[in-house]
Amino acid sequence: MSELSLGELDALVLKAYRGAGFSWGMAQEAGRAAAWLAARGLPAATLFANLLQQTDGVDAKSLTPDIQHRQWVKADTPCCPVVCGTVLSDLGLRHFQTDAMIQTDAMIAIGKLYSPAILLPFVAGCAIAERSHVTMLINNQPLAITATGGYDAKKCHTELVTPKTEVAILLSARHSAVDSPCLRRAAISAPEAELLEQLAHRTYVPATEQSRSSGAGAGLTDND
Amino acid sequence: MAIINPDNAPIALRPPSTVMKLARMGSMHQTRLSFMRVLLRRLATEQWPIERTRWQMDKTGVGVGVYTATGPDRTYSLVVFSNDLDPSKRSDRVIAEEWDATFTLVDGIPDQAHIDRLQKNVPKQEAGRISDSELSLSRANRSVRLFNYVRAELAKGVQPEASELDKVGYLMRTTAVYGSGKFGALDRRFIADREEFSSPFQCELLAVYMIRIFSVDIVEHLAQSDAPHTAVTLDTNLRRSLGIGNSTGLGMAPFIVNHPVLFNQWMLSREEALLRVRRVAEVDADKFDQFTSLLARQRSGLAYWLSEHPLQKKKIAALTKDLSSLVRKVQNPGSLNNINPWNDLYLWAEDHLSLEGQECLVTLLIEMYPELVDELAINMSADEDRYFKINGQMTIDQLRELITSHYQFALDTDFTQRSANARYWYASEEKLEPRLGERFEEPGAEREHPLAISRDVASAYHDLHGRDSTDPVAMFLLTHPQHRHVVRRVQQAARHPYSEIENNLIADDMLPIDLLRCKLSYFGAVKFDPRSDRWVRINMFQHAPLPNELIEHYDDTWVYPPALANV
Repeated sequence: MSELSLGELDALVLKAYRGAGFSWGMAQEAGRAAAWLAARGLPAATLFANLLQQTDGVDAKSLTPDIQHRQWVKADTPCCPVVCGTVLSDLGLRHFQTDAMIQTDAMIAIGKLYSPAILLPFVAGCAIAERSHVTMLINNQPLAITATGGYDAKKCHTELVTPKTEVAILLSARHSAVDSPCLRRAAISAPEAELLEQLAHRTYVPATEQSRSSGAGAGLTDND
Repeated sequence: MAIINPDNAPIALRPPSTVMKLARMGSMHQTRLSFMRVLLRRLATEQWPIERTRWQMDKTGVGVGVYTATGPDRTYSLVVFSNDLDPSKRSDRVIAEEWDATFTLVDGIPDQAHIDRLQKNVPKQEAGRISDSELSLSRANRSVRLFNYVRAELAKGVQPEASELDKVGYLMRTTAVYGSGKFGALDRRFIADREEFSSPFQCELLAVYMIRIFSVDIVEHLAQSDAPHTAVTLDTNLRRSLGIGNSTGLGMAPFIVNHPVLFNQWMLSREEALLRVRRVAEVDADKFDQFTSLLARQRSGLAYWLSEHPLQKKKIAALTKDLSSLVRKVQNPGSLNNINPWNDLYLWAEDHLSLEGQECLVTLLIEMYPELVDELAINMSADEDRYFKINGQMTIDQLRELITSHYQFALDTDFTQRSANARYWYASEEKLEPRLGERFEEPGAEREHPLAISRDVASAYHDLHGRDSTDPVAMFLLTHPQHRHVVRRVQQAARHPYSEIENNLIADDMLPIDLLRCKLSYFGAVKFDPRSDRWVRINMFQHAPLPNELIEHYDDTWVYPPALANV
């Protein structure tokens, strides 16, 4: 295991996610989510390595949820948590709250996700923006998220990092505040680093004679 | 109460369409809001002692040095690894693998074990790792000719000629100063709440200020080794006349594009400062004298600003002429209105001076009113996270409206023209550094980085065509995720009017040095000397007070060299 700064993890995941074929704007969301998770002690590098290993080469459309449908994700094709997360974040949780739901706990049935913990930063962001208390149900295990974005990291840990887990989101439950940790570093194993670097590598352009000769400073002496 | 100028038009901020143009940005000068100036004001006000606490150098100048800077709450240490570099390995380019000296800024005071760990990593720079106890990583090379000259003169027991020092202006130049999170350093977010780092790039520039001290200490050390019986130390005035050089290439250029909210704060603060000075109703004779004296010092500074680059030579020539015109203008009593005279002078400059001259005037005007402008420095940081979230509830119509009101420059560009689409920004496989490629001549454009803002905004606008105007933006992004990065920017621009450069960053005639100059002016750099259209040499902290002077008698106008009698 080695460690990265949060900025390094953000940059690595951003490039890897882009290298895996997602758009730059989505990759920015992925990098930021990775830093959020790592700061809270969750295994961000593992989560993204698993996600990208399983989704590499999969058609982006099949990783996108059908939000018009009651259950966003079809049972047999798990979805990308970053794509689902950005939809929740963009529209806000209340957008999905129907009149009938207001009386009871409103539920967004998402379905199976790769590395479901990656959804957490997006849901916590919604909770803060909407000043709502939210519960994520991961394999029916509840994880409470407060209106300040706090959650109990010890709970649901196993399910959170298990790939292809069923996820649903409940609104308007009440929770007491919980403290999530704030770490400065992200752990990453050698195989995870290698996988993410390989994907990131797809965003680099190999040098050519022309690029070398037109690079900044090329052909001029610095030794003066 | 609003102060009204004689034409009864309220004096307003310069609009983004004036300010956010590369030609103007590439003509900007340091101001008293620049980050080096902010840093030294703090060190002086808070009386930070800076001391050399360790100096273990052999006769060839190889060894370790430590400098500590102690503020009211914390101490920071610059750890230096000095090298006897084989001249054939000396290069300022990012592809270099060895340097004359390497540095890291430690959060606190390092013990021996800490220094031992750093010694295994810092000299390797990008190939090494630092930790969350370190805040920056940098390296510097000697300016060989000047360094050797000064070394030889000091060894002989004589002072070097001031005119020789002025030709270069520094003994060493840094070739990279990495900060926040890079190569394992602590992320800025964990020090952003420290009072001393509330302005941007303060820890990086604190490191550079201490590197400047080292650059003289090491030349004195080598002179002493060469001739222990005759060597002398460098005269204080000469020491002060030396800054630290820097060579900057494309690596720095994308920063101001990738941080639109932060960049807005920099530009807006500077514009607000100018506005406050233009709104000063009355100016007494003393203030005019102060302006005349500053102008004279600025003109003296021009004598030291040398460049071989044809574009920069032309700009310096225009500036020289402009400053003479300015002198004539202010010497002629009655040529300015009694009410809001600085505004009058500024408006005159817009019609009569080059962009270099106009922006230099902005610097001088801001300089005279610390009581009006210094407080703006605290606005130059930004909580970028706060504006990251996309408002997907915004309607397509609202998004269209934002694009047409903030990005007309993009919609007016015809990207089917090869000249408008000539280049692409990318990261090189070799050094993972930003580069600029020729789209129609080099392979790799499919790996383009998202810096072609105007083209991408125009493309998103095009794809909005035919969408239901009341649809939420989120639904558009679900089917068009390729537009996500620019939709975020467009929404940010709504609240941050100075966040976007209003030029096409992939046009065939775009000059990357304009981006570099703008950013470096905010750092407080002077003597911009472009070496091509994509890299530039500068000087930092030239004429800045020495550590003891910061504490004993700080002169905040240090950046303007003393006026020469014959200019």
